[in-house]
Amino acid sequence: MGKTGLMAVTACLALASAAQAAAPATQRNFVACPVVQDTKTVPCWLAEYKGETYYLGIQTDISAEWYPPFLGHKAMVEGTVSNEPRICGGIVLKPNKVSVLPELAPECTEMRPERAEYQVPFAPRGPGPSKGGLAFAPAPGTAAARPPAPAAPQPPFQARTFTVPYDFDTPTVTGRTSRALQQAVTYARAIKASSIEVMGYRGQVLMTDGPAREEAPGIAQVRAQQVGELLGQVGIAPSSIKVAWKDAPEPADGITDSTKRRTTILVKP
Amino acid sequence: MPNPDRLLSASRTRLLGAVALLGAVAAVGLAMAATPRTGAPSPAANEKTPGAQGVIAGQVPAQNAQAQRAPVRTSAAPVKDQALLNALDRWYSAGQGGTLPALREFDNEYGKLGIINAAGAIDTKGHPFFEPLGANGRGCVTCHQPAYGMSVSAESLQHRWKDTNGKDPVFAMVDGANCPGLPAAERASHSLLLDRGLFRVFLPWPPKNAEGGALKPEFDIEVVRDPAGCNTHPVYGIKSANPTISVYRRPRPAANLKYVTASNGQALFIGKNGMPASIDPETGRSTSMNFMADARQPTLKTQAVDAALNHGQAGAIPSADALKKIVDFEMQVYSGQRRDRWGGRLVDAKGYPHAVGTENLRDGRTGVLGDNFTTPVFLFFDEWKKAPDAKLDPKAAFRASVARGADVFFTRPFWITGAMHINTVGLGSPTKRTCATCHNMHMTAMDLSAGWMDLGTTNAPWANESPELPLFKVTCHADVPPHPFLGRVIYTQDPGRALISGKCDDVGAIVMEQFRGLSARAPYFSNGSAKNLREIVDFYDRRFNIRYSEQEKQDLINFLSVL
Repeated sequence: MGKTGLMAVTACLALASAAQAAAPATQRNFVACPVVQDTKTVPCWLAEYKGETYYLGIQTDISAEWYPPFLGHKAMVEGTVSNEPRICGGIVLKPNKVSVLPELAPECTEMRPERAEYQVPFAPRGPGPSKGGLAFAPAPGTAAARPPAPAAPQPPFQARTFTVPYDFDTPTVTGRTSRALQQAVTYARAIKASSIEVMGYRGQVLMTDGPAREEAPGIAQVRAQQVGELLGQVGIAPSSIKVAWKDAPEPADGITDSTKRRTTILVKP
Repeated sequence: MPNPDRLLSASRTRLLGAVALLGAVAAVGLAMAATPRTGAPSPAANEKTPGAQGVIAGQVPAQNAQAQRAPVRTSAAPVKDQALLNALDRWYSAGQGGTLPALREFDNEYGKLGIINAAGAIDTKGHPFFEPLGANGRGCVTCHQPAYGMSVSAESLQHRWKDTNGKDPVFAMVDGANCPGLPAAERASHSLLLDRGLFRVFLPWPPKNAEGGALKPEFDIEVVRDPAGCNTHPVYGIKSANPTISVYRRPRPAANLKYVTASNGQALFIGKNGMPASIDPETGRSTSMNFMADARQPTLKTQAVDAALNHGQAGAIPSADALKKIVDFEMQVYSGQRRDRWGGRLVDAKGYPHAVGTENLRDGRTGVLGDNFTTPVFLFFDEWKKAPDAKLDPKAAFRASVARGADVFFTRPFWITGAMHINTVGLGSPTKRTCATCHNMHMTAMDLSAGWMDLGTTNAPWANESPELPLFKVTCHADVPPHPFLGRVIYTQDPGRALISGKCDDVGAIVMEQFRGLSARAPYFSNGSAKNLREIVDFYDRRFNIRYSEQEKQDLINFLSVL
């Protein structure tokens, strides 16, 4: 499958296969404009779906597990309804995965002014400089901030798989997801790997309101090829890299779908 | 007019031989890539990232071919007495000789700028930083003048034009003119340099990889407006035999570089976008990618080669010894404001404020993140805040204003929206943060990470309207994601990093510049679009709808002026 036209095509809607049940009742998988709800400190990020408001997360910094989306884009929300009290007026989806959809959506512009009843006292970082370190990083100067370097792998070496995750419909590696490549390269060099097998996958999401939404056709190839090229660009011999992809979407269950959008890197001794 | 004989000089023949060798290597690499290999990375995709082989970066041979076509005037000698001119305006001419003392101060509009040579006084006679490197009589010092923060100001260039009747080597046609084909003696031919301090930067299109082979860009580029005529020029333009894009940029300060070049342990991949980091070809280590507007050169050494061949129109690469001396000089020279006309001597005997002045720059730590209250970007000004007689004493009042400005810079939140390589790195768009979020490097306020981002200085709709600059239409290909904030069609005065990486989301992304010595080197931003410090503040106020009060603006200006 060529990649021409890949991103011009919005993600396809496809009927869920007979094997795919509807998304579980506690799951909310939908596409919507994200909404910024300002507070006295950092903003909350919300999304509305079928007349209800859902809380996605707050702004912190790059050390956070959860990254906020962008206004100006729609977001794919994949989350589980929790029992926690509402935050910023929204039902808390926890855990959740939010993907910024690539194409621009100029209608997604909503920013709501702060309201006294919306507080985020749990914010590990305010809107200004940090207290000394990143929000979720060990305090500078502590032993935790300087963990010992991992021991070099010892023979007999094992094959190891490193996984690059992706946002929905995103074909490219990002700063954060490149860590998997860094780890793969480090391991490959340490064990003098004989071969590296890259496999790209295409995902789909079982939506709350019915059919599964597939990622764009061809995205598995683009993902795999980019990872292969990046490995080559940082010094892995291209002849040792085998690149393949699976264009059929991975099965969707409405819960773990975000983990199936991936590229795997199998490093063999 | 170009001198055809000069194109056949022996030194250039050696260079071309090296280039040909590199080309052959690249050709072999491409041939190998084109061999069918089941399951191998796509042969159609980019095989290598931008970078350097030895001291030659991939784009340099194509640039040098253009540089060698630009005319060189046979007489570059100033018409007036050189010594007198130097005494009058503190201009260092390449090859003039003399000593640059360990500490020298230069007056400027706001007070005095200091230059410190940590290695002691420099005998400039025979020093490669201070001697002509190529055919046009320029040395490094020509565009990196001590009096102007190791850069040059537009005002200084205007004086130089007047004093030398436009014959100083800084006005060399290769890049000191709006385009080499223009009449050399006319001021209008050099208007971008004289009015905005902009030198022409000419880059091959499509971009080149480390070996000089073509990268496959993610976008098409069209010339929409070309007031200088260089991008549509039959010899120097995008459709010439050596396709070239010309953009116009300010020279960056060749000082305080221990901060700027600190790689900060950068990994193989850039933390912002996941692309491979630039590698020092000599050490194999990742580099800072922070000292040129487009990060096209990995090291100061490769930058010096690029500058000698292209800005200096040298026929050969400088010797290893010369390159070492240039880099050694650059790594030990520090530039910062030392005295203010209102605030007086800026640093007291105890070195307070501890980030101001040249000695503190010399002694500061590198690789420190400053977006925190432990080691703020420019540390603390608290003692200046506490001045009890600030309302009566102009000196105390000024210092209190600086301290307030530091607070505005450091702690005043606003909504940062649609800034590529800031909002996209995990902060979301918008993000409610402060100036120090992006300007986070201790002592310089650059970005501690590889620092290119699109703050809107060159891209529509935010860039200041500049009809004197070229305008390009960039159309991102359908098979790549659109730019997350600008879409598939982008209008830009300078595509920035994208001219090197070929990536759609790098269009208009410019490596941010250090904040030091600002008082000596207006105008600001890479395209010189801010004439003074006020226009910097006004730009950001408009770009991010900050709504600074007049007091906040003046405090910020005063703060910036003492750095």
